[in-house]
Amino acid sequence: MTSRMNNSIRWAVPIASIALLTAACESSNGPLDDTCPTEPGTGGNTAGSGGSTSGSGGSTGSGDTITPQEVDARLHGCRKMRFETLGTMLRERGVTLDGMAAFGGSQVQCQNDNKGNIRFCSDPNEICACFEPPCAQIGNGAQNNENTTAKGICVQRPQTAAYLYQSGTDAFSVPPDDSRRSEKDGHTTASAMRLMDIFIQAAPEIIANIGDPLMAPACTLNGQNAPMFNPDGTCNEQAISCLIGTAATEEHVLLCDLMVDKADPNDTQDVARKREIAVAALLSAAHTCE
Amino acid sequence: MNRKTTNRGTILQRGCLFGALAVLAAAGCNRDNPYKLAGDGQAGEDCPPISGSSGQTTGSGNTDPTGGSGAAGPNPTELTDRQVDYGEALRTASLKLVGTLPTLEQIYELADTPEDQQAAKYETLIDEMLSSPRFAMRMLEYWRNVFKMQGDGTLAGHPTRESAPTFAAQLVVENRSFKELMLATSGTCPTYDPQTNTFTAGECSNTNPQDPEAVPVTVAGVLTDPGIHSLYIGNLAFRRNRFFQEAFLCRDGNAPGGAEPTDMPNLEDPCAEVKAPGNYTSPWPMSSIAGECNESAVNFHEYNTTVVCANCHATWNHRAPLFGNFDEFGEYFATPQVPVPVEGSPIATREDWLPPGEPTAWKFGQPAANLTELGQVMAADPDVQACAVKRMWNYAMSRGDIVDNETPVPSTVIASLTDAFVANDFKMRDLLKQILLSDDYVSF
Repeated sequence: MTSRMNNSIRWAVPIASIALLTAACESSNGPLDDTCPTEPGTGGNTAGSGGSTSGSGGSTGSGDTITPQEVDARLHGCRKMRFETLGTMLRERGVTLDGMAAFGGSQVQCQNDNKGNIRFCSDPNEICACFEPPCAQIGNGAQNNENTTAKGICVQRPQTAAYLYQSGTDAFSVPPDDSRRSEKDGHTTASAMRLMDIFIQAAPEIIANIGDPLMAPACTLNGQNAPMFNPDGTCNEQAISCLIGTAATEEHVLLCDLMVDKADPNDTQDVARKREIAVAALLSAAHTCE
Repeated sequence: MNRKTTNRGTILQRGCLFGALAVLAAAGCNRDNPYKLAGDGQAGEDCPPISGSSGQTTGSGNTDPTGGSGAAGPNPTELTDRQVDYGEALRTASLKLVGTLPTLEQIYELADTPEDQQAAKYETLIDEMLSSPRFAMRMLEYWRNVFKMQGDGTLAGHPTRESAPTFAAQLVVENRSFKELMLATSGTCPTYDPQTNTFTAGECSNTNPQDPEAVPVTVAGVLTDPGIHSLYIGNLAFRRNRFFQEAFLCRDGNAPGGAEPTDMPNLEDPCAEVKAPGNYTSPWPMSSIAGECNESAVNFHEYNTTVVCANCHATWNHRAPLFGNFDEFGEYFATPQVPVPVEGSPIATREDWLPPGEPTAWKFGQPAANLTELGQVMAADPDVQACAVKRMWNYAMSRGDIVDNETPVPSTVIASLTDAFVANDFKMRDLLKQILLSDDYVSF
């Protein structure tokens, strides 16, 4: 993946999505109004004038004979976050990713169909997890031996962040041993989708645990952790900073608040959903690129 | 817990500005110069060259064959439009150095520092990360990806695939010379304990007591690593050759990588009757490698209108025999242990690569009679040294593997880094730090 993605681009897609949600750019009274260009082309006037650094890690930087390849090489790229890094980052922010218990659900053995081939769970809120085929490797070995047909276990549906992460090595192109491959640098459709899925499923755990220094040690400041949301329901700046990995700006907080504000305050489920979306959106925007 | 929100950068402006820039990029370019925005003060100047062979346009010796397409290239103003953002730099540096985001303490330690002192604070935090136990694991992962190997061998008796990446990681963590990767004569198979963050010196084993024919080999960095030779075993050791070419020259396996091409092939006896095609470009005489005319099992002189085998094999055949004496377990023998891809898959002889008397070499004009000499010429090769810098640059800048992702780094970009790398005895941790402190790295 050779795409160059600076900060503007990296934030553009999620922000564009958020903007669509809020329609703020279209509103004459919207809080985003002042920051949007009124017509195409105005941004061009800033070209070449705002840079504070024109030098490089190398020896050039005069700009006179610079080639597109040199420009490209001197800009940050968009490598996807490493699989292990993703896990570490989430664990330090209150998400449980390890162990089968984190898969949720009843964890009973899946049932077989009449032919013994298709495994299913009778509970519609569960899905049969054949985590590492053959399924017999999952769950109680003695029980699995009751039937020669491999079985899985019934886990929560939609799948938890732990399940999505642990089963995500293929999606993230983590190479099997002896494959003579490295972990893929750029995103694929599979890895990008899985990343978003993990973030949205991790959001409830983050919201619940980010205020706990033991559960979210990376988010401790002066010995204390801030909650994801303040008592008045607004987003907490420190928590946002911990999620995105850099000091949150007023605009980060504003964006978060805008998403939460879309919830019906009388509908607790809707409030919870919007909060989860806000957390996942912040994570996605910040960490689509490493 | 209520902090005053910082006011550095406005993501809304950035996001919306991007939309505007996208429109401009599509519609506002000067017709004669697609790399200039309308209104750009320099719009009247010529476009920089954008052909696929852009490496040659720098005039600085960039012969990287993965020169990139150049098509739809970026606008140079993207460099001058950047703003220094130490907070964002710390975020991405932390991911590279310790494998997670900076802690909230680190984030605000930097953010609360007065602007004129942020560079120093940023450097302090980078130093802390470079000293973190997690740094070793990240470097181990880095080298696993460079070498494309990890874990234990999946087949019985195969050696670990961890020794070469671990040795390379140790060199970075301990700020030792990159050249040791090719020159070290001991301690090239260390182990690493992440619990104690300790590297334990270890020697590679290229012999097996149960196999009396295996002979000791003089250790030459990772060039004699059993895991590499086991994992990359293949016909005529060409897969091993490709491994070393990609890892140390930053060149695709099919790139010549042996010297600058020439259009003046020099045919010599005993194959004088073999006429090299017009598009044979290797500097070696075509007859310097094995072919039908000098009784090789494989005719490397073969060609058609589009493919000239010898263009690449002229280099490969001079190099691969040096890797041919390792077997599938990475054990070393006095004679070749790799098969020839012809009926019956016989074990190779030296004449399957080269005519009798033809010396082995790293590149044209750089002979190497054995792996020790190979390590010496590789370590002295400016292209190898530059490749190390390019790989580290791409890692830090999130640009991906230089070969797999075709993300070349023009020599001009890393010239000062390479000079400093050479002057600083090829210390890789210092190189990485220098990249992380560079203007390009902290600009977004």
